[in-house]
Amino acid sequence: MRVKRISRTGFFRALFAFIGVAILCGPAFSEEPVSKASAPERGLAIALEADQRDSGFADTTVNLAMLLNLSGTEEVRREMRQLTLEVEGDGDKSIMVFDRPRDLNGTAILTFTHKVGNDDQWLYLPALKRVKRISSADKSGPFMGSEFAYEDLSSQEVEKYTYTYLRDEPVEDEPCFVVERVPVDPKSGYTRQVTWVDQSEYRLRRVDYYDRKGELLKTMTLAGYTQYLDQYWRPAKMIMKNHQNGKGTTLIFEDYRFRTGLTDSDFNRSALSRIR
Amino acid sequence: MVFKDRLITMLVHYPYRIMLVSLVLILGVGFGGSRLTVESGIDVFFSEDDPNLLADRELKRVYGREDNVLFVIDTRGGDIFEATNLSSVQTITEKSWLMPHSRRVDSVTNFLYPEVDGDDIVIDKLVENADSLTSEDRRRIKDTALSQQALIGRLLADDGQIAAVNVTLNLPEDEQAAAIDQAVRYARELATDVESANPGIEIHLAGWALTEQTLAEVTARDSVTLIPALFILVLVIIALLLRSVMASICTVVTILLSILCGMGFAGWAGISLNSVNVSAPTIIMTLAVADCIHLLSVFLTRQRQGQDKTDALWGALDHTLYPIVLTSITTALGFLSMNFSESPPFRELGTISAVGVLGALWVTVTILPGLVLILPFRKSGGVTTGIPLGGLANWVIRHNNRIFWTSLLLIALTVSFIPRIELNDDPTGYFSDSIPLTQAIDVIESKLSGTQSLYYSFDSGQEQGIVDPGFLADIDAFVSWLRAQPEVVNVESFTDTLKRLNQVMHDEAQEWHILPDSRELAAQYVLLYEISIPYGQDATHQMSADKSSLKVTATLKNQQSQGLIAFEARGRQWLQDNLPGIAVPGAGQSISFANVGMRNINSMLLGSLAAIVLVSVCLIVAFRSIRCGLVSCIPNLFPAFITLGIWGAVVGEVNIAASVVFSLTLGIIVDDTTHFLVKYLEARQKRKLDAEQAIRYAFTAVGSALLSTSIVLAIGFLALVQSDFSVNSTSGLLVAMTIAIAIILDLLFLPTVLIKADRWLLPKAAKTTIIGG
Repeated sequence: MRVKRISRTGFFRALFAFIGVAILCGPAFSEEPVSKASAPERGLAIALEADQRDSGFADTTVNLAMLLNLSGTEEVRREMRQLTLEVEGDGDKSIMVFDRPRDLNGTAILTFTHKVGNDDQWLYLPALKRVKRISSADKSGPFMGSEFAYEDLSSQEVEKYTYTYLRDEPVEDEPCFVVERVPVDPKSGYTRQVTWVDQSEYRLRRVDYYDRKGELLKTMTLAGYTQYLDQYWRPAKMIMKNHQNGKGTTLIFEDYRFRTGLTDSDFNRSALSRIR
Repeated sequence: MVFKDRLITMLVHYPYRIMLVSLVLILGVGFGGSRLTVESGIDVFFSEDDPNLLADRELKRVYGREDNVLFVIDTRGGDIFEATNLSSVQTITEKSWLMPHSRRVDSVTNFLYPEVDGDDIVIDKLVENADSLTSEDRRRIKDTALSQQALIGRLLADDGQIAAVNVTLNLPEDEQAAAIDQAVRYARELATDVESANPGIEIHLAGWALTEQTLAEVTARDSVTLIPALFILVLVIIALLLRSVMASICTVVTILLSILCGMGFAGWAGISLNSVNVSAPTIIMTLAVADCIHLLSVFLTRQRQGQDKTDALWGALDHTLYPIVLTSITTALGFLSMNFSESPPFRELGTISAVGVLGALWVTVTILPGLVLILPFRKSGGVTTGIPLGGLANWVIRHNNRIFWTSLLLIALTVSFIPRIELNDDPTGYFSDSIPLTQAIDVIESKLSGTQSLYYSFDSGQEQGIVDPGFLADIDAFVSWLRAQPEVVNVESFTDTLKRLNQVMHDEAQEWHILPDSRELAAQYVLLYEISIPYGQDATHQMSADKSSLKVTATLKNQQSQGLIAFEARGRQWLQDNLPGIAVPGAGQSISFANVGMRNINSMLLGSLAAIVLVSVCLIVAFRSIRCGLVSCIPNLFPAFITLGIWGAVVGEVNIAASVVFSLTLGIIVDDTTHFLVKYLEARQKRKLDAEQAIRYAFTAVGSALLSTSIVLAIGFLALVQSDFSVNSTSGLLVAMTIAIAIILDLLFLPTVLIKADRWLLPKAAKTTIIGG
């Protein structure tokens, strides 16, 4: 097993990173209790297994729509594309290109995720025809006015959290491991997250986010998983519900493509301004 | 008065049966009290369809609630950018994230300041780690901070001596009071901790959460300490006036049952208790006392004159039943006229009090006689009860001419001061000076910022419309206009952020501190901002989620209600003249309160008029004489005017309470007039006495009881002055003054009017009419 290899679709690291298993916890599959491993060991093992199962996809592209449900019936729609390149030994590289609203057409963000330390990020503004590196240490705020934070969407490297296995509990009749993870970054907007990972495929099914006060802030549920290339599971929907302000955001993913032939040269500053 | 005689006979002959049935009825009504709920919060002052409240709710829906806790850090002449002070500000800023229900925290230390660093754009807090800064760093930070329009007059004083940390709360829809309580407790502890760690600073707490919390605390304190204290005080006075323990016991029972009627009714009617209508029991108590005193003072006098209990009771009922019924009806009418008020708690106060007054009448008639017969009243022959007023009557009659003209002159003089009254309704100013919130507001108003805000929500009419350069330029023009107004201390607008971003993207060139010139660029700057910000510092409180509207916040300094209303009108006019396409009124709680106070004046003028007409009609019917009814208006109307005149001369500023004083007092002071007139007319008509003798008769018959009840009532309302909630203390003082003036007018001025108008009043007095009593 290539435990070392940890890289993910930039955008989905949140989802898959810890869908790993446990080399140490293999028995988790069987009925045999796993009391031999400690809760932290078992939690980490689950994250590693999920991560391992999702490695090797090389690159992906996907179209996504972001629907903001405001209080009441109003809804706002944003559309963008995401290109991801799997990177050996470090976090993924990704580009997000905005299509809608029209004023943002061609605006693109290039992100180099890192296992340790802050991610690198460049923004291309077509109206100025300029690329600028954005360095802000704290990006825990809402992403584009949605209920997702940047950190919910960015690449979820295994190393960015510490884990604790809590219990087994089904989500919609699907048996799941419940694993708590605590962000390593002190600037994270969360004190902890509780994740539900299904036992059959190590897919992320649900995340509860606890704010800096330790109170439940949001819940994300993932639905409509499809398997690609006989290995890689991707959700069609991610629904984020904010319990404190009553608002919600839904992300809808369409047209996943794998191994489209993207290379390192498609993920740099000059590529950013060429992208359409 | 056959009916009256029959009723009294029944009351005296079957007291216990009547008492029992009545008690069952009262307990049935009183059971509603168990359904009473308590509603807290500032919103109770508004009707559900109040246009300002609706505008305010819409603002909250689009941009989120603005309920906040404001820490004001005063260095008392020092420098907020000095190391320990800056670190205190940072501590409060960071610990505020842990305040229950906090949603965002704004301060000078976490102020997001985009900067250029070579090829990088750095969007970071102005102060990252206060403890590790060099004095050079701090000087640079100070220079930057003091040049930020968004900070000065809001989170930072322009002299750099005071800073503020604003914590915006996300309150749950239900259990709001408990949520506010948690947040405020946390804030108070944090303030104490930081103060003890840095004795050089003084921390004050303000904001809406503090206003709400203070209101709740003050209301609770009133009902736990003030009202019971008042109750005991009134009992002591009654015992002193009536000099009878048993009479005092009767009074206590009457008071309790009357309050039970009023509050039970409130429960059945689905009324919730709030900081205003919680005064109802106090009002009911004082009025129930008045009924008791009238009945019992006659009873005791007769008993002490040697009559046996039943005869004395019969006499007392015969003597007082008619005026008690009459005055109860007029008092209830006065209270009911409070239903003209714009503000629901005052309507509820009026209705509950009216029911309570009628309840007191019911208790006095059905329960009190039985109680008097059961209780062992001692005969303490010889001692006269009450205050002897014969001398006063003679004095008034002797000097009636001089008294008449002097009174008239004094009345005219005081009334002429009414126009000096200035209305001011601002919930942050609703508390007495001893409350910490009031001190905090003084510091804010005098040294840092203002406490009143106007919010303008500009709608571009389309999704993503706020990035239109024309729309942004319009808003910028209005922001510039606002900043040029002397009342305005701070304007918060996203256009400032866009200008700063534009400058940063053009390598800090000063000439680029302008709005972006294309939609695309503006939209892309918004995106840049939205992907780079920390938790709780987003711009959702400044723009709607679909980016169709922008909110501009103007903070104003030292404005009274009238000033605020005038400023808002000026702003609206400017918008209509210059930007008719997007013109909107200014909204928010400050202007809502100013407006409800103003509108309440008009509606209560109407209500008072209605009450006066109704009460006068009642009296005209009762006296069977239009002229007598009209004469009764004089002492009924003047006391409230005189009170407001004196207030205008001495104090000047009033709140919403002033507009209900007339209705609140009308019913009560009509009682005095009515009791006096009933006895006067009885003497003139039934006993065929002349005017002077009739006045002596009225003085002896009711003078003492009137003076006693007035003292009790005035003291009752005066006790409300002890309330730290100024709506209650102001109305308490105004009502007490009005009652005192009313009794003075009734005993001094009314007799002289009666003597002067005797011929006109009763042209054929000696002949026919015999009125009840």
